[in-house]
Amino acid sequence: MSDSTNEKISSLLDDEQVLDKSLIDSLLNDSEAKAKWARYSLASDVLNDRVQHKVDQSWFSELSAKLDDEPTILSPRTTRTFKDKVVKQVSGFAVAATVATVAILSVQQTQVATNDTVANVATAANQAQINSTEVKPVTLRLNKAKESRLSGYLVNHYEYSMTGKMQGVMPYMRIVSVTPAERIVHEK
Amino acid sequence: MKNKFLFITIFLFAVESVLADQTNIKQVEPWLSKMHRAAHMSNYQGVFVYGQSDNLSSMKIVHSTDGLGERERLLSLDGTGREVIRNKNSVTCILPDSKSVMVEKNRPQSNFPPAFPVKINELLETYDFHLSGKEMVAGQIAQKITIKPKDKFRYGHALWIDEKSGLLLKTHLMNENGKAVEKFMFTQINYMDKVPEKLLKPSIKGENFTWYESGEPKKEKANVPSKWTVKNLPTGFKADMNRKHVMPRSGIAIEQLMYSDGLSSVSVFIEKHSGKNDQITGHSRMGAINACGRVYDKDIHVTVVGEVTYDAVKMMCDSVYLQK
Repeated sequence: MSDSTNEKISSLLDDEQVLDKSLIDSLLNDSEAKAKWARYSLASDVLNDRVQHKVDQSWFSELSAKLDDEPTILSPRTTRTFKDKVVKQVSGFAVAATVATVAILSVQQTQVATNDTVANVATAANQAQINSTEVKPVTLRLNKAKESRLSGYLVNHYEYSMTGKMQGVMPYMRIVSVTPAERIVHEK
Repeated sequence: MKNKFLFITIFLFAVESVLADQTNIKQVEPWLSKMHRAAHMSNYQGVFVYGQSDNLSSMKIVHSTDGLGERERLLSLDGTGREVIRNKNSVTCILPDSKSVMVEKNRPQSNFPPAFPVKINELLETYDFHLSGKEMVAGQIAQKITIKPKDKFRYGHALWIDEKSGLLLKTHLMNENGKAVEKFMFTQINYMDKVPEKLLKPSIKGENFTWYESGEPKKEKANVPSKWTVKNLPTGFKADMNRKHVMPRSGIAIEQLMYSDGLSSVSVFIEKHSGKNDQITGHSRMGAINACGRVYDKDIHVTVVGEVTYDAVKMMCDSVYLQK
């Protein structure tokens, strides 16, 4: 999937992009584009508590049919994408979780920066939403060796934890859900 | 006379509070038991959305219970296609992003279906339970249950349980400020009489992958009393299990102590300090999972991991010690 298609899907879900021929082709023929469309649609629905319906396999077929009937209209795309909006909404969710550790994290900020060579990946959205009077959290990504170790710990933890006993494989969603590039943890 | 009246009022209030807790427990326990049974006994495949921090993912789960026992497969529908396949003997994590496969031994199970593990009366000291009405989730009527912690050491839970099947359809995990740190919700579920074998097979053969398998250290047995212990535990937490094993990827021998309050669990991992920058020091967080690590007595590394607040893992990590 090209970057152009990627951006168009984001903008389409944000009502800031009108379907054009290339996007229709991508959504009909490119499995990666279809998956991204599904992922962003679900994310949008979940974030906005709109998921009251059952999504089934015919959903993509219906979408394809609807896309076939759509007229092709070319329109200039806007710069603010659906992803930006998702990040903005979700960041509120993220900030709530990080604020609790703000004070402690800040104390050892210098130490962390020298201990790990990973880049500071605190998102702009997170930073923007934290009140300027509060101390900003240090948000770092673990290096690969630590990520790998943490995954190993989690597998062993879930096998014997109450959540594992209650829900079987379900707690492993925390391992499955993220890729190294997305796995952002906060460290002090 | 005035003091006597005050005493009677406080006494009656306390009795009423205990009776209310007992009533709530009696209402909630059957739902949790039903949820536990459905999680282990249902044949289904489903798609769900999972959100933690600023990551959102869609995943697919397949669960089968038949003559071969319980088999499960969880796979990412986006990202790098990670998979976890679990059966009665092992847990296999397929990680295409690192071209590796990690195989861990499953916990030994003596009974099937497994017994309902929650001793709910023991939870009254640390949690409040409430039935919170019914809502529609993924097209199904779901009973909502809220579980509120009584201190800052554990998370709160909101559970939506399918009224018909008992399957957990949606959860929110709330931090000490009542804010959700994790959300999960099914968007599609298909129940089946029998799950086709192909749905339980991994999507890759792993021929070009590096395989790591766990092992048990020689002459070591599970649940031999450990010399390691945790001095300061949050209220209600007790030692649940301990074991020694070899981590599949690193090949390092490690000791694991498990503590639980009956609903949440924390693991303490004790291993040799590597001296490299590959062990967790200080605080790390991934959604609702908090981890805290430190060096103990120069050559031992302690890491505490659990789905509890940072206050809990920090307190435990700081008070791990070796009994002489």
